[in-house]
This record gives sequence, C-alpha cells and structure tokens, in this order.
Amino acid sequence: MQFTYIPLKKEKSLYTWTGVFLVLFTAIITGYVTQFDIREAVIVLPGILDFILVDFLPPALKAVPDFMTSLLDTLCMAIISTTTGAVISMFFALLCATPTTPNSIVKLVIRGFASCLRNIPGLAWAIIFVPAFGIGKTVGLLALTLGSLGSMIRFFTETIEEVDPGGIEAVRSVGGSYWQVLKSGVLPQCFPGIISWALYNLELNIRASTIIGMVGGGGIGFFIQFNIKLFRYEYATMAIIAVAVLVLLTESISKKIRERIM
Amino acid sequence: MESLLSVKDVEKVYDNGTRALKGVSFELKEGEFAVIIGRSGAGKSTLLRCINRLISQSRGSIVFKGIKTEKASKNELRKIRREIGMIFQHYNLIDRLTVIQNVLHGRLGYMSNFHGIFDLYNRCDRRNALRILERVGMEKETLKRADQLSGGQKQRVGISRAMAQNPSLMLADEPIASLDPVSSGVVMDSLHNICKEDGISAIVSLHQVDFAIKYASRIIGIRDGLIVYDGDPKDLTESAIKEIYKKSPDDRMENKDENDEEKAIAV
Repeated sequence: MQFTYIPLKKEKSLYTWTGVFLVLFTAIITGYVTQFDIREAVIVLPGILDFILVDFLPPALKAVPDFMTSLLDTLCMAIISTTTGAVISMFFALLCATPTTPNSIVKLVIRGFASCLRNIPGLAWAIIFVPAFGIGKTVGLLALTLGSLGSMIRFFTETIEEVDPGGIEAVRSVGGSYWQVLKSGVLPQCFPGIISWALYNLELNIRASTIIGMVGGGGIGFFIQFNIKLFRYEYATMAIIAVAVLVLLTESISKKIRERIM
Repeated sequence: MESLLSVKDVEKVYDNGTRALKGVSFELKEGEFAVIIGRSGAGKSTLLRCINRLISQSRGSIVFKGIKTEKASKNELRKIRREIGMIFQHYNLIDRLTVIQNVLHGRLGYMSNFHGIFDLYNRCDRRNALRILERVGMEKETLKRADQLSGGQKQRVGISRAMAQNPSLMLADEPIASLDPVSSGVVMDSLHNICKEDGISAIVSLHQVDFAIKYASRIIGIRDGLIVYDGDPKDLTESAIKEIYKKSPDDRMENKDENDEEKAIAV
C-alpha cells in the first residue's frame, strides 16, 4: 500500500521538468527573435549607472514648487477619471451581471464592449486623443476614464455575481421590485467590493496618469517629460520621487478605507 | 374556515430535467399551521417557492386569496408576495445591514420604487418593526449588524422581516435546519406563537419529525414530488413516517441523505 503514490510522484516530477524545459525553450526562442543579448546589457550597465548617479542625482528640491500644481492635477485627474469610470462601470456592470441583467442579449453586448475596451490601454487612448484635443488635461482625463472602464466593468460584474443570492431572493420574496432588489438586495452586499476595486483603480490611475502625461495628457508626467527634454534630469528625479510618495500615500489611505468598509 | 391557498396538480420540471413536483394538490385553510416533512430532494423547498412564485411551476394551478399566481401580472405578483412572508433556512439576511434595516425590508412590497430606493420608511413601519423585534426578544440587538448575530438570532430577525410584511400566509423553508436544538426550540416557539396569536396560516418544511408533531396542526408528507401523507399529527404512525422517508429507486441524493430515514424513525 505504501508504494501506491510512487507513480504519482514520478508523474508530477515529469510534469515539473517538462514545464521548466518549455519555459526555458520559450525564453531562448523569444530572446533569439528579439536579438536580446545579456552581454550587451552587462556591458552598458556601468554607463547607465553612471548616467543615473551623475545626471539624475541628487534630486532638485527647488523643483518642488514648480511641479506641485502638476502633481495636484495628476491626483485630480486620477480621482475624477476613477469616479466617472466607476459610475459608468457600475451602470454597465448591473446590466451585464448574471443576477441583475435584464436579458442575456444585453449581457452579451456589454461584456463584448467591455472586453474591447479592456484591450486598448489608456496610453493608446491618449495618443489617439492628442491630435483631437491637443496637449492637456482633457486628453489625460478621457484616456484614464476610457482606459479604466473595461477593467472596472469586469471587476464590478464579478463582484455583483459573487453576492449571496439569498439576499436577492429575500427582497424578491417580500414583493420588492427590480429596482428595490438592486438597492436593498444587491448593492449593500457588493458595496465593499465595489469601493475596494474603485480604490485599486485609483492607485492604478495615479501611476498611469504619469505615463499618459508624458504623451501629452498633462499633469506631472508632462512635467517629467518636459524637464528630461531640457536635460534637467535632477528636476525629473524630484518629480518621480513625488509621484512615488503620492502613490504610497494613496495606497495606505485606500487600505485604511478598505478595512473600515468591510 | 375558508380556504386561503389552493394548490392543484402542481408539477415542476427543472431545466436539467429533474421532476421535483409530480402533481401536488392540497388546500390550506386560514389559521392552519401545516408542516411539510420529507427527505432532502423530495420537493419541499420547490413547493414552497412555487407558492410565492420565486419559482414558476411547470403545470398546475396555485390560487392564493382567489388569485391565480401563475397568471398574475408583475404588480399583482408583488401584491401576492407582500402578503406571503417567507423564512429561509440560511436566513437570507443582508449581513452588512443592521437588524432593523433587515426587518424593514419586509415593507418594500408596500412601497413605491422611489421610497424603497431611498429607504423612506414611514414612522408607522419603523414603530411596527421595533414592536415585532420586541415580540421575538430581539429588541436589544436592533442596531447590531446582522453578521454579528448567532444563528438563532438571525432566524428570529428573518421571522421579524416576514412579520413586518403583515402576512396572511407564512412560508418557512427548513427554518431550524442550521440551528442547534435549543435555538431550534426558541425559533419554532417564536414562529408558532406569532402565527397563532395573529391568526396567520403557515406552511413550514421541517426535517425534525418530533418538532413537526409538536407544533403542526396538520402534517403533509412528501416523497419524490408527491404527497404521500396529509393529516393530523396524532395519526402520523411509525409506518406512515417510514412511507414518507422510504428511499425511491431513482433517489439522486442517496449518499447525502442515507441517514434521513433512520433519523426520522428514531424520533
């Protein structure tokens, strides 16, 4: 009896080694296709380090007053786009989540639409919008909102689908209408999940708004890009540190909010 | 006494082909406290859910207070449901809401969408909800969140929610299945007393035959979607219990419920 598991162990080990081999094989092939050469990276590494240590450091503290407005713009852009995105996503999520959808066609259409949106990153939206709206915060706002819609619809839909159907059944059983079922049976149950995802999306949007700013979306990203172009690397470093602090602060505040609403 | 509910030849076939009910017929008079017993999967929960149309029957007719539920429009169905209180095995409370908020949900069927969405319960509803909580001994827990309550307390909140509907009929789907014997007694006492005092008819599905005999004014035994016993609890003999809990050849829940028969007979 004690030898019963030996073949299983052998099988498992075979699977593991096959997996390792496949990963290595894929890495080598893709490296060959992209002409990636680790030696080249090692050779240029001292130059890169030198560039960072000499040109980017020390960060210029005097740049702080210059980018405070841009940093605030970034934060505001992230908050507005997340709020707008969350409201729109909630509407679509209620229409396409299984317990709340009015019918299966609406569900399919919205899921398809969300899937399409999810495949277009915010950066791509920004590049599309710059020729139409010019460089500025409008581009950043639109890009961030559209960029976060796809994923938020999906997260919200999954959150709604995870609610206890018992609560919904209870509100239906007392004679609650469709809207009352949504308000009293669904929303109270999925509220913590929705807020949690929205806060996570806010963190993502703060990071993304920096990148989007670099291609013309305004905010701190634009400040970083502008100073790099002027070879004022120490100004850019200070702005990058400020973004990191902002992200850390947002993360810690949203963690506290999540803990409270659970 | 007049007939409050009439169930005639009700059949239910689920999408997967399971025939949960195979032609159930009975009438319930006002003030009756009927208990349905039977093995798991016999069709008890399906029958209760067909009565307030949480599930639509495939065939047959259910008449509640002279209205055919299967032909009821959306508005008529709301009116029917608000007069039928329902108590669930797993309480079906909204855990994040307070006890009083859960109880007040019982009033939603009487409110407009606007009032319901914005929780605009009138003073009378609020006062009544508090009075009901007092009756089930839950007045001290009014502002507690539902997820802070014990199983027995949750079920009493479930009873209060159903009571807030001011129902003519109470349906209880295995209300004590998830509770210990002491809490089961408290919950059944609350339910029975309230129904008796307020003259509310009730249909309660139970697994515990001893509780069924103690509280019921009438026992309905279901096996494989058919009524095999309908009568006075005093007449429920051991052979009748054996008949109700007898295994059927196509019993799909065989492994899960192999002890049902023994448990019931042991009682």
